[in-house]
Amino acid sequence: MNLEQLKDTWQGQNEQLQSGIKLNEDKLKTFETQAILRPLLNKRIIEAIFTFVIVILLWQYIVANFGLTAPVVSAAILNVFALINLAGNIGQIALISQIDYAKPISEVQKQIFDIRQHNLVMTKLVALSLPFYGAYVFLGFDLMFGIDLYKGLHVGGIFSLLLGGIAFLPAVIWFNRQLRFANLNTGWVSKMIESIGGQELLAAAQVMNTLQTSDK
Amino acid sequence: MVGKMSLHQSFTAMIEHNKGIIYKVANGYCQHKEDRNDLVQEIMVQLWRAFEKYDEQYQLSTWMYRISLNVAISFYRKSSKIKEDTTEINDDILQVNEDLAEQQQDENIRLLYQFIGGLNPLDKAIIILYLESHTHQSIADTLGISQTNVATKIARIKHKLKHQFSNKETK
Repeated sequence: MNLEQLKDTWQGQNEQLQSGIKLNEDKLKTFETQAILRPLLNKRIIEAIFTFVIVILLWQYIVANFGLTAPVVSAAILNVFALINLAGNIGQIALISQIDYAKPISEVQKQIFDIRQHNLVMTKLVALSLPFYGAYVFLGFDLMFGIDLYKGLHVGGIFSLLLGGIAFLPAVIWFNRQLRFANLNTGWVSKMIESIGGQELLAAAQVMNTLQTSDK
Repeated sequence: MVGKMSLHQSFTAMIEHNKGIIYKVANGYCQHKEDRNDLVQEIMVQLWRAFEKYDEQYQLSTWMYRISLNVAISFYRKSSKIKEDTTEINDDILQVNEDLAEQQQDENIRLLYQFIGGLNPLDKAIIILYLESHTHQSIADTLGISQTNVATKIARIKHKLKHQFSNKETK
């Protein structure tokens, strides 16, 4: 049997389906439940609020201690990362709210893929902040112990902190470059992407891959 | 579209006239009954949300297919642990009567759903629209890819199908 013959068989179902399926109208009145992306939207809203609070606290700290000190510069650096995170979360909230399933499949699936890979993008952002780990240390010491660690450090200590940050840089660049869907054949990449974005992300990536192959 | 009827009444009437679309998409994308019921529910939610904005320049069935297929492709569910062989949706919003359940056991229909179930999500959408006699242009518009790609993909699916059905016949 070929596809043309199957088409007739397929369409032959229509009458049967019309008479054989009963619409549960009572259920239809109360069916408003969680949509696919609703849990994600809730998560992003919570994340955005949390990040917003961090941004405000960091700004408060910068304003209260304004000056060219290591903890203030550290707070400013960390604030940049927090702002990028906040912008990402707001973008995600807008994207999830605007999804229109009546649009072409390629367009909607690209949006869903962007939504699903948010955690992966944020992981890369956190990795990018690692070379600036000194910022966490300086700010942490000031907040917890009221100590400006930078002032107490010898030149050698500052130098090794700086070197440590620089040493992180190639590792972070390598890590972020590896963490791509093109490298899914690499065991640890696949496992890491799955643990960060879940199987939903892998499924969305597969759909995107099929769509992109179609475009070529 | 809405006329004198309330929005909900119009929606119910639309679903009543096109319930086969939702059934076929859900059956094509989900192998297990529970997943299918959840997918039907999700499709209904998105259809209802989009209903107010329905653009009459699109044919209603085309609009419904777009939404249903987009939801089905986005609907990710880890494989159910409980395997079931039945193909009907018995409870929830769409209820299937026993006669239909028996008719759906027709060998070719069963094989066709089985075949569709084995395709990737995008090919599932293409084959369902193709079986519904949508033109290549209409399928390309729904998917947002070129007509040439649609033609290529249909040719590949036909080849797979031929191979699969001839295998079944020789067994």
